[in-house]
Parts: sequence; C-alpha cells; structure tokens
Amino acid sequence: MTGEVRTALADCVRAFSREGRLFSPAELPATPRAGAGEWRALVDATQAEHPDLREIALPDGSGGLYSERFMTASYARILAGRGNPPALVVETVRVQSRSQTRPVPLSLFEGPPFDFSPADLAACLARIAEDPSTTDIARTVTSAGTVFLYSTRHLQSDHAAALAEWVDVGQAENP
Amino acid sequence: MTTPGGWAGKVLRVDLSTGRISTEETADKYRDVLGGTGIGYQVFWDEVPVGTRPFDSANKIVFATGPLAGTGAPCNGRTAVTTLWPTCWPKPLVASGHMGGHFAAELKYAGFDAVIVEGRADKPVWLSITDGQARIRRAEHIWGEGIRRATYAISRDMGPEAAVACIGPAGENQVPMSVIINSVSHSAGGGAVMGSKNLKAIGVHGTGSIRIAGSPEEWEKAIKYHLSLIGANNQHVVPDSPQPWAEFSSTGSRWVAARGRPWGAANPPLDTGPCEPHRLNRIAYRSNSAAYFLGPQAWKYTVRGNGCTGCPIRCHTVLKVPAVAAKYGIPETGQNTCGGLNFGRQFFRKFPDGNRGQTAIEAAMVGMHLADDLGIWNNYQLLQRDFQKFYYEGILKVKLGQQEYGSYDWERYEKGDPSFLFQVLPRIAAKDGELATALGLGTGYTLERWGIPEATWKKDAALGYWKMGHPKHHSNEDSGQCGVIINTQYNRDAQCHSHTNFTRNGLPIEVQRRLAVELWGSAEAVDPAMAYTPMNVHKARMAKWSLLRKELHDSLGLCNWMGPWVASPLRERGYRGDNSIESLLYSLATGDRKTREELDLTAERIFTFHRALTIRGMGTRDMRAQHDTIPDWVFEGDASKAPFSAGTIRMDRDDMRTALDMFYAELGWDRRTGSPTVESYRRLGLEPVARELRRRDLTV
Amino acid sequence: MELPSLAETLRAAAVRCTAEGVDRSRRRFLKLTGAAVAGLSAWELVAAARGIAAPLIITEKAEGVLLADPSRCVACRRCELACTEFNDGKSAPSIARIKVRRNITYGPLGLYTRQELLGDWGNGLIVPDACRQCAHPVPCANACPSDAIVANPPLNARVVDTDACVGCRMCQRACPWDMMAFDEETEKATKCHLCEGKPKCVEACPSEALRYVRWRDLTRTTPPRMTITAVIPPERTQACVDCHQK
Repeated sequence: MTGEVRTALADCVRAFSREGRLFSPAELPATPRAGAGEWRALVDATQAEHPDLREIALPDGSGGLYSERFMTASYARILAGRGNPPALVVETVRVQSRSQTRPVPLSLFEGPPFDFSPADLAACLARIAEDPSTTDIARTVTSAGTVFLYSTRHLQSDHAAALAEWVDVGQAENP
Repeated sequence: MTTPGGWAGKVLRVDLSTGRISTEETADKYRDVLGGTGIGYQVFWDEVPVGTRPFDSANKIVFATGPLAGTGAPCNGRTAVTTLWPTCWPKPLVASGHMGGHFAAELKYAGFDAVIVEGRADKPVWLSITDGQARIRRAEHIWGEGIRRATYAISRDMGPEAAVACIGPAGENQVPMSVIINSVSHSAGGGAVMGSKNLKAIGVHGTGSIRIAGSPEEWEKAIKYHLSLIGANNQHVVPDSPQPWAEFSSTGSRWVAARGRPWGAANPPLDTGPCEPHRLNRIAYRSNSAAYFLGPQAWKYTVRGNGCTGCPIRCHTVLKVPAVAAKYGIPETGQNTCGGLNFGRQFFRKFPDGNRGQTAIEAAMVGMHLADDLGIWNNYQLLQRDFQKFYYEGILKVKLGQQEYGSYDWERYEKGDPSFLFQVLPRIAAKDGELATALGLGTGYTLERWGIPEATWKKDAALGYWKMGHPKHHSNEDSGQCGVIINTQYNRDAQCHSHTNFTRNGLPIEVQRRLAVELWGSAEAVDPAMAYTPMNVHKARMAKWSLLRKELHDSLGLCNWMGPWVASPLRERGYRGDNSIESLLYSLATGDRKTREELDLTAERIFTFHRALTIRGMGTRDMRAQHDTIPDWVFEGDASKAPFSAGTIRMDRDDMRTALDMFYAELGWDRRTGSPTVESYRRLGLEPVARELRRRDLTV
Repeated sequence: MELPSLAETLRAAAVRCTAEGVDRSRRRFLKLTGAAVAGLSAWELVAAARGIAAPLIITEKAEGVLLADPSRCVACRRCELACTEFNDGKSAPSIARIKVRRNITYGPLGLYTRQELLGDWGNGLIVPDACRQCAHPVPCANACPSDAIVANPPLNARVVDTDACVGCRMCQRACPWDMMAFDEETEKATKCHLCEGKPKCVEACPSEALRYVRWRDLTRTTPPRMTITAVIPPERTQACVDCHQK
C-alpha cells in the first residue's frame, strides 16, 4: 500500500463526506478490491497519516469512513444508523429530547438524511412500540395534526406537548 | 476636526405648513444619540409639546437612520420612523416603527441621516430628496393611488434608483392602522400621520458616498469577521434538519437550507443546501421565510430571497404563484417576510386543505397584494386575531347592524376562501362601514368604540393582547420573565428581538447556558423553552441587554431582527459569537472609538430618553403601576398548570414583581415607580431632561 | 535616433510597471507615419519615437471576466459596497464598477421603455451588470482622448490610469453597457479592474451570483443598454487604418 493509495483514499473519503456520504469498501467496484485484512491495514495507515479521517461502525459489522473536516460525528451516526431504522429513530428522539429540549416531528425521518418511506417509518414505529427497551418513546399530536415523538426519559408529556405545539404552530404565529 | 465617517452629516427638516426646507448638522444636536430612534426621541423631547395628538400639525414624523446604514456592515439598511403613535390607547404617546428596504441607504447617499417632517401641507404633496437637496412636489396626480402605482410614478420622475417611502389609501384616509412602505414590501407604522400631513411619499435618490474612517483593509477584515459569525434569519445558528457539517439540528430553526429544498420558481430552480457556515457566499440560501411560515409547499413557489441594502440574509421571500393570477386577478409575483406573509392567511381560522396548504399560500399572496398596496397595518397580527374573535364570538353581528353584516360573505370567510380579503381590506383602507372604521382604529380604540372592556381582552391568552392597544411581541412564550419585562417597556408592541434571537437560535440548552455565563453572568439567565424557573438577577441583566441593544441597533441603522450576534454557527468557537460586534463596526466606520461598554451606555441613554418621553407624555412618574403592566392571561392563561412547571408559559405575579424590581435595579431606576432617578438621568448626560421632568413634578 | 531593442524596452517597461504600481500599463508608442508596421504583432514593439505619444490601442485580451447569474442575485448590493469600500475606502455604490441598483426596482428596461418588468416590482429577476472587459476594439479605451484606459498586466483588465485621466467623461459615452463610473469626488473615471484577479464583488456576494471566469466574449450576446455618443479621437482612427492597412 503506497502513500499514493493512502492519499487517494483520504481524498476519496473527504469527497464523500463533502457530499454527505460515508465511504466504505462497498462503494468500490467489485474488482479489484482489497481483502478484509489488507483493507484494515490500509485504513489504519491512512488514518495515521490523515488524522481527520474517522471510522464508524455500520450495522453489517463493517466500518464507514468520514472526514471530520466535512462531516460531524452526529451526522455520521445518522448515516451509519440507517441500516437499523428503529434504533436510529430511538437515538435521534432521545438525543433531541435531552439536549435540544425538543420533540421530533415524524416528518424529520422522511427527509434527508433519513429518507424513510412512509411505509418504512410506520413499520419502524410499530417495532419501537413493541420493544420493551424503548417504552420511553412516546408521541404527541399538535393542534395542526402533526405527530411528534419524544422520550419520556428527558421530557415530561406536558412539556413535550407544549413544545411540539410551540414548534409546529406557535413559532409561526409569533414571527 | 476630521469629519467623522459613517454619518452623512446632515439632518433635513421640512416644514410642510410653510414649505420651508432647512438642514442641520447631525453632530451638533444628535451625536450623543447616534441616529435612528435616538434622533426621533430627541426631536420629540425638544420640539413636540405634550398633549399633541397624532394628526395635529404639531406632530412630527422623523425618518432617521444611523451611521452604519448604507455601508457594507452586515444587516444594516434600517430606518426608524418616530412619531406620536395613532393606535396607542388611550393616549397617544411617542413610538417608533422600523422599515428596511433601500430607503436608509439612499438617504445616506443623498447626504442625510434623517428627515424631520413637520406641519401639514394644505394639499397633497410628496417630498423629493436628491443629493443635498429637497423639494416639495405636488401630488394630486398620485393621491388616491395605491402604493404600487404611486411608487411607479415617482420612480419615473426620479429614476429607477430612487427609494420611495409611500402611503396608500389607508394612510391618506388617516386610518390609524396604516403603514408606510418602501421597496415593495418594507413597512413601518405611521402611514396615517403622513396622511394627516397630506404627504403622499418621500422619494430619495443619492449619488454621494459615506466615508469609512478605518482603512479599507481594517474595514474589510471586520466585515468578513462579522459575516463569519452570522447565522440564518434571526441569527439562528443551527439548521432545522441534520446537515453533514452540523453537530446539532433543531426543528423550528429558521436555518432551513437543505438538499432537496430548492428555490423552485427560479429559472432554472436552485437547490439551497447544504449551507456549510464557512461558505459565506451561500449565506443568502440559509433562510426562507415563506417556507418557514407558509409550509414546505412554498419552496416550489420561491423565486429568491430579498431584503434590505447590505444584508446577506434576505429575510423577504419573492414568491411566484401562477394560480393566483387567474383565480384572483392579482400579479403572480409577490414578496414579504413574516408579518407580511402571514397577513392574508391569519384572518382565517382554517382552510379547506389545512393551514399550510395551497389555499393558505394563495391567501398569503392576496393578503400581500392588497395590504401592501392599500398600506394597511396589522399590529403584529392582532388585527387578524381580533377579527376572528369578533366574528366567532358573534360580536360583529351585534355591532355592525343587519345591513352591513349582510354585505360581507361570511360563508366564504368560514370556508377559508382568500377572495374574502377583497371584501375586507379595501374597506378598511376606505373606512367604509362600521367594521372597517372600527378595526382601522387599532384595538384599544376599537374596544372603546364598541364598549368592550379592555379587561376582557387581557384575559384571552390566544389573543395575545398586551396593553395600550397592542399585542405581545416575543414575551413569555419565548423567554419567560425576560420577555415579559421587555413587553412592558414600550408604547406599542415591543419591537425587540435581541432575546428571542438568542433563545430560539437552536443551540442545546447547555450551550446556551455556557454562553449566558459570559454574557449575563450566569447560566441561570436562560431556561429551556417552556420550563421556566423563578426570577434571578441574571435574567434582569439579559432583559436590560436586550432592550439596550435594540435601541442601539435602531440608532445605528442595524437590524434588531438579526442582532446581536452573540452566538455563531461555528463549532470551533464553541458557538460563541461576539458581544462587541456593534462597537467594532461603529468605531471603524465613524472613527469614534467606543468600547462595547461605552456604546451600551449610549444605548442606555437612548432607552432612558424613551422612558422620559413616556413619563412626560403620560403625565405620571408611576410607570410601574400605570405603564409597565402585564395582562392577566400571562398569569392565568393556562390554569391547568402551575408556574415553573415544565410545559407551561404561565408566569407568577409575585415572581414578576420581583422581576421588575430587579430590572429597575439594573437600570438604576426607582424601584417603586420604575422611574429613572435624577441620578440616572445625570449619569447618562440627560440633565436637561431631568430638569424639565422636575419642573413638571415627574421625577423621584 | 536608434530604436531600443525589444528586449530592453520590455525590461524597462517591466521595471516601470513594478515601480509605478498596478494601475499603470505599458505605454506603447508607434511612429505616426505608420511605417514598419508588420501586422498585429507590431503592436508588441515598443518605440520611444521622439517622445510623441501615439494613441494607445489595447489589443490584448483580458485573462478573466465577471459572469453574473441573474437567477441567483438577491439585490443586496453587497457587491457594489465591497467594490467601493474595499477599493476606495468609502461606501459609494454610485461609482461601483459592478452595477445592480439601477436594475433592482423595475429591471433594465421596465421603467421608461417596455413594460417588461423584471426586478422587485416585476418578476423578481435582478440583472447585475458587469464590465465585459471588451476585446479589441475596446470602446471605452478608444474613446479616451488621453489614453487613460489601459490594459493592466498580468490580467490585462482594462483599467483607468488616474494620472492620465482628465475627467472628460467621454468613456462614459462610449460604453454600450454604461459600465463606466465617474467619481465626482476625485473627478476621475473609474471602472472594473478585476481586483488583481480576486474580485471583491465575487467574494462579497452571498448568493454565488457572481463568478470570476476565464475571459470570454460577452459583447455579442448581451444587448447594449445605451446609445453611444462618444467621439473617437482622429489620431486613434488613423492608427487603426495604419495598423490594419498592409
């Protein structure tokens, strides 16, 4: 693995990050492709030379690469999480409830970078409802009929309802 | 002494009664109050007798901008319009409106920092201001025309580069709920005062220049620095959806740029995002007021952003909605920002396809077309909320009489048909009928006319009425005690955004709290939204800071809908902005080096001047009891929850008493009355003000 | 008198250029008789013929030009402000060398000519006007009776030599797109000089409406804004004949 290859990889990862994408070996054409061991060595060596490169675990066990120059860890986590939609939704809702003090509109997951279809989203919500480890994920509906999700670990239901109403209706009426 | 930079140097004075036009040196009288509202308050203090009413010829109307207007300082372009406010109830007092567009810059290039209009012309006139000169011109040919055609006529006279501040039929007819509009969509209240003076418009075109005292290199560096800290509209610094470059995102932020959200009516369409914050060439794509207020459908109708001279934000949205041309006979293109976009749609309780659908957008287009041509004001949307309440509670049926009531197509109204607006708005402008006449007075006078106690309005949380005929404007729904304090201080709705720009900027509460330590002394200055905690001195400091910075921006020609810039989108700065941006730009532009503290002192002087004007105008020093009032709904509106529990914005009376105590203490005002002490007037160089107030027995 | 060699003259010109700063251009001299002209390349020959200044005729193309995208322009005027604040130290859009204000309200044609309203009161489209850095023959330069508009290397932007400018304003009558500005305070003409290859306006634009690109001829694709009323000095027309006649 020459320096030229490492540089090419670093540049490639950065280009992908600029476009809002993670880079993994799956992005390369089928042949030629490095074997798993060689790939690991290449990634390690490249990261050592280019410390802006980060790796994040993907649901299939592989790793996705991004450059922190162009992509934040939070965004990378969303991209990496798309392989496990229920977990992604749960994490997003919990993080927003805790640090942003905000419930999350369902529509967020239909847009980029989540890009769930309505059917996928519905299935996802059904799974979350069944899962005993995610009973903190609750919903509230605003006067405009918009559905918001929040985590009861971080937001009381009254608070979540008021915040959802504020975000969905109130803010636009208080320009 | 070197001529300072920034200021144009002259104030124009036009007496419409005598036709006399004269100029004064800005520095002679107004240096210590900078410009904008500062000049307005000074003129009113010195020259307009107590007891003057808005439509008396003794009333004046002051159009004033500040030393940063017309320069490349980001987010400038603002003109303050100060006058005795026609909708201020029960007794008109001094208040200011603010308009953007190109007027402020052109006035500066023409060589003027302000225009003081006095007296009354005996027939319709308009004022033409060109380089260093002004002329009173006959306006019979445009009197009666809408703002659109009158602007066109004046532009043909003065050339396409003129900025024209114009009233429509509403102002001509002295409808108190009327505005002055320049540059298509930029409005300020006070239209009726111009109408009462028979002044149709002020057209201004300048080819001069503004000197920048600092070197071009220093100035360029300062501007780029400021631009690097700028967020989206209202200085929101976090995008509303996850973006690759962003650590945080927050639904409800005005930073709406994202992939897949295009200026859909640009030709060809333009995608907006992602707008990485270091890419200063993409600042204009970050915000889209139409999408924010009218919903995601507005993206496909968005042509581009628009706004004031020199501002990169473009908080006005130009919309092209082809359907409205055939359906309503109005141009397919229209533009405005928040209040203007909401104008038409807020009249209706609901639309057939929901509140953010196609019909709502059409209502927005019809509303802008009518209101911005007739020149009608909406009192920060209280007009629309009053209208709904009057209708749905059956009050109109009683007050209008059968014949007039039947002349409105209420079925259309209830259905949410935007064409209903053609029945209402032109009649308001023409004072045609009881409904139009009453609504056009402004809420305080409407209630008085119809024998409705103001107290009933003060109990209705959904209405958001505050006091003296005007609504809340970013009060407790936004920023708890800080917002309430701010809303007590003015003689119309408080046009202050310093606090809300911060609380709504999208940063997590921990980050906001970290910044609050530096800004106001403690993390306790800010609460999470709708989870307020009891009052503390740091919240009082935030309220004082908010108000002072509002007056500072209004006097410098900067936009308080964007500033201050104390948070930024930059992670490498810990999302910190710069609390001294105003002092940096002011010092460089003018050559008058003032630290942040010194400039804030000047702002305090201006703010206190407004207080003195209010005290003198009301004839009482007991501001606390008589003026700084808080409506019942703030304390009782949400009976289901106790104050300081999560999920309510309900405030506590004792806590707000403490809040005012602390706020007055921060300003050095008397705790009992909320009146500035003689010592505070002296500290601020307002001894003449103190002397006159003492003569009137209005000091403590 | 013996003519200096091309090399020496060029070196001298280079030294002079460096010494006098970026706004000076080489001055080219040509014997008035027009003899010894050998096609266009003769314009590269520099001869100090008895100190008589023959008319300057710019033939080099500019390296770059501003390209404006009206569909992106948001009428903020930051380009005009950057142009004058960062170059002249004052906020003076009336002498900005990129021009937007005049098209904002009604578009380029919407007020006095046709009712095809562009601009804020029309369809919203804002047309920023930028200097085309015209190829030879350069209208503003050719109209100047004092050879005050020169091509400034290395970009060969057409710039006003303020030492030579006498303030007659003939250049303003010559530009078909009305791009010449005139600074009443200095009483000199001024025009776009491309800011040494980093145009301030491009940097300042918040909507990416302006680009600085490799030069291309924009004169044939954009209609004129103004009727030309300039007079070309006769010495210059004679030089045209001299050069083109072979």
